[in-house]
Amino acid sequence: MNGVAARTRARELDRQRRWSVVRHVVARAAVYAVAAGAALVCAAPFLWGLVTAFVHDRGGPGASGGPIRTGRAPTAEHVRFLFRSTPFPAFVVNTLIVGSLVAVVTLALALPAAYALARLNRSWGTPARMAILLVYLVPPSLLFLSFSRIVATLGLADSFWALVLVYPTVTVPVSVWLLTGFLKAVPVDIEEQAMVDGHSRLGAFARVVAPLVFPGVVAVVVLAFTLSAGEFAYALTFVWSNARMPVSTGMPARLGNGDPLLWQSMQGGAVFVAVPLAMAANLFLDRFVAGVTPHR
Amino acid sequence: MRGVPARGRPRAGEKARLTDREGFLAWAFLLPSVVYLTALVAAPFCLTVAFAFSDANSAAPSYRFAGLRNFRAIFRDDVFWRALGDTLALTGLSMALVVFFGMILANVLLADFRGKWPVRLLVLLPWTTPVALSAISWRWLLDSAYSPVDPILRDAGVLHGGASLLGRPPLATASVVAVHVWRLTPLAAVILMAGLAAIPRDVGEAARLDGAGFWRRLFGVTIPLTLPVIVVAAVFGAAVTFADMAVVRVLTGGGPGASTQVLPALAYHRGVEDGDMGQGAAIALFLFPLLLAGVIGVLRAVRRPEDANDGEADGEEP
Repeated sequence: MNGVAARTRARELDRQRRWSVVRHVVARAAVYAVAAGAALVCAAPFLWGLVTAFVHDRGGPGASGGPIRTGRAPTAEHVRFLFRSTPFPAFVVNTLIVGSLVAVVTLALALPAAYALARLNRSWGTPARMAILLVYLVPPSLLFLSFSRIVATLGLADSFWALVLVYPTVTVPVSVWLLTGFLKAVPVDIEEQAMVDGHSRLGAFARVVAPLVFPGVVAVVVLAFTLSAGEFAYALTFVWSNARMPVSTGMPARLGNGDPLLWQSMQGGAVFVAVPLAMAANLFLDRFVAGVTPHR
Repeated sequence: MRGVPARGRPRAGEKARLTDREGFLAWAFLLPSVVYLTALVAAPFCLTVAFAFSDANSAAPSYRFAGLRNFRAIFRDDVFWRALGDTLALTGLSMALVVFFGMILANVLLADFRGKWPVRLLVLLPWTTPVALSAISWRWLLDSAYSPVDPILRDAGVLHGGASLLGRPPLATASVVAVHVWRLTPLAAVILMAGLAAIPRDVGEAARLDGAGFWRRLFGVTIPLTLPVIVVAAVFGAAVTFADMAVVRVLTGGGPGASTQVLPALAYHRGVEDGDMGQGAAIALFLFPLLLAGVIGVLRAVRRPEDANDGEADGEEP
């Protein structure tokens, strides 16, 4: 009787173990399937763009079948056209300049502000941090009309300096929030030791704390670049000369219409801009997740 | 806390004392950001309100008060009501889908699997790429005789003759929603990842040991614990969606007809292209209630755990 019970129990355990193996395999398969599917959907337009950027066009939109089935070797003709005969390189340079300047302004404003919120225990620290973050929710499309008048009054109309002036309104709120998280993770002891060693509060911040939050600084630089490269409403309203436009408005405005050849070139351009930005973001994704994590 | 470090350098005198005073430093560090944000967010907002009640236009930049004339004009305008409705519907629908897909994606990205780096890279593409360029790519994929989507839709009988995907109202709207969902799901996933990672591991383990299945744990543990983060993800996504004019401008141009017109694109059209700044500002102002609703949503979602957390943190500190 005892033996039967033991055997039943063993069989039951065995069954459970096998069941859990099956469940594990199914769960793993699901993870891989969803990951692959998500990657494919997320990359879909760019994959298609990349393919079409390197195939021969068939001359005119009336051609059937599409450019992918031409059966000829890949061509760099469209990409060459993009860089030599369109203002695309100028758009990229403008975007890089604006992005760099915005990153510098953002850091200069956000790093001290984040330090004040993270360290110098004021009673208004938490509400102030929240209020600054909420400024991020104020959309450019609510402000662009009156801003265009302000920009014109300042003599910055049709200049990328207008974008450098305005973009930190978008980047500073998020950056303050992120950097406050990073600064809170730096142990207070390190700073106090520096102050015992004779540094002032300011000196301890500049010489000891700032280097320790370097990853956060890099994250903010990447964020400032990404946000300023992606902004559309301000760029559309403030800058209208070809030579001064960033990619986000330049490509749709000057290249968006016209023949399929131009469209094929432009797909290459979109991938050319998209991939470096995603790679930079990928490098700091873990830090970013850590930075926005509440409870810290 | 204040007195200890100040004794470090007696000789530096006044300067050291000033740079050690926390109250002064806190203000000195915070003030530039506060002044900058106030000047360049609050001031233009007030100016937008002022323009909405004026007859300002690009030809005559002088300011003349015009009362409610702009509002009366847009209230009589079918396109405005359509844009308002579209903006709301688009944002609501997009956010529901974004949170749903974002939750799935966040769970997958938190799991361990081979090839994570390239998957993460590709998943980040929609979020980091300038939205106008994404819209260009989507238009090339969805609405070109060259694309593989076109023959598929024709074979399926969705498209006939010279029609194209973005030329038919319900399909054009669906395309705009799809692009927004595609673009914002990664952002929502990243925010949700932070929320999921913050769930204490033992809570999930305890529920598992108590025999709670996947669904029970999802609705009983995961969702309640991440609800504040879900709201934050939804509100940030919504703020980006309802204020976006790039997708509609590049993908459909507001058409066919005015079937995919949204408030920001309409405000740009009236305010800049037609030169009627007053009316453009009045239209843009209708984004403000939506913004306010979002802010209230975030504050309500964040307030309770934040308070609890502060209490904890205060308790830990000596």
